[in-house]
Amino acid sequence: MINDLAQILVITRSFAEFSEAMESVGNSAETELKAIIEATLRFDDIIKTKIASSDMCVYVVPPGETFIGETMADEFGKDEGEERGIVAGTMEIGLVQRMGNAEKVLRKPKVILARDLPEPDSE
Amino acid sequence: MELSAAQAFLTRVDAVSEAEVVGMVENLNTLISSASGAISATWDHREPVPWTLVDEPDPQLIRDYFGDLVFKEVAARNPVAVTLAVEMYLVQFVERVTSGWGGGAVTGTVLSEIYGMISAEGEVCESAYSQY
Repeated sequence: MINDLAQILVITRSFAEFSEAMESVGNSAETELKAIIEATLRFDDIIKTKIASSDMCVYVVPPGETFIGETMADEFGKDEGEERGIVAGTMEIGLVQRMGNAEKVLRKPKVILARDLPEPDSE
Repeated sequence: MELSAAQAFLTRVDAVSEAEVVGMVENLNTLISSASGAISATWDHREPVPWTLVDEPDPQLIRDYFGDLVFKEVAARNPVAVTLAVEMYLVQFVERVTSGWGGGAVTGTVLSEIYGMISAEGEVCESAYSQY
């Protein structure tokens, strides 16, 4: 995980050295990342062993999907009315419950739309 | 969503409530946001490193995670996109870990059948009892 995050920081030119990025991610967010791993494993155990009545699964919208207001939440809350945007990424996890053939979104994933990404720097 | 008798029975068997699971997701989102903030704080005050100094990263890995749309922005060091990329990575980490074998439906099916058998036996017993 730290390795992947360090790669993101290197490719964004935040750090010149990969080792420096690794150290920075480890120093700045080790506690938070450990907490995410622990919470994820606990959550995984709960949804797979403690719930018999339905399937619960994380709902993450892949980049490039069309925004659907009924099942997704727009980070900036601008996609109202008829306009449909393209999802750039999911910033907050959603939760879906499947029971037989029925599917219910218990928590909408929060997404950012492509049109809301600022223009890239021209430098 | 209307529950069948078997599903209603299974809901009572659940060791955790729907609200508790939603709460766990909320907690994960808070942790992701917190980690993303901590990581962003390490670079947002720094000047971008010239391309020539950058180690050879693995662009394919980044593309795989974020798609071309965000990759373009991330590579341009758009601060919003970098924070988004870190959050997207952590969100996808949770998805990858939890998207393996899902026990609920399988367990649910087995328990539904058991419930069906118990109910059927109950009816048989009741009808047998009623004869006396």
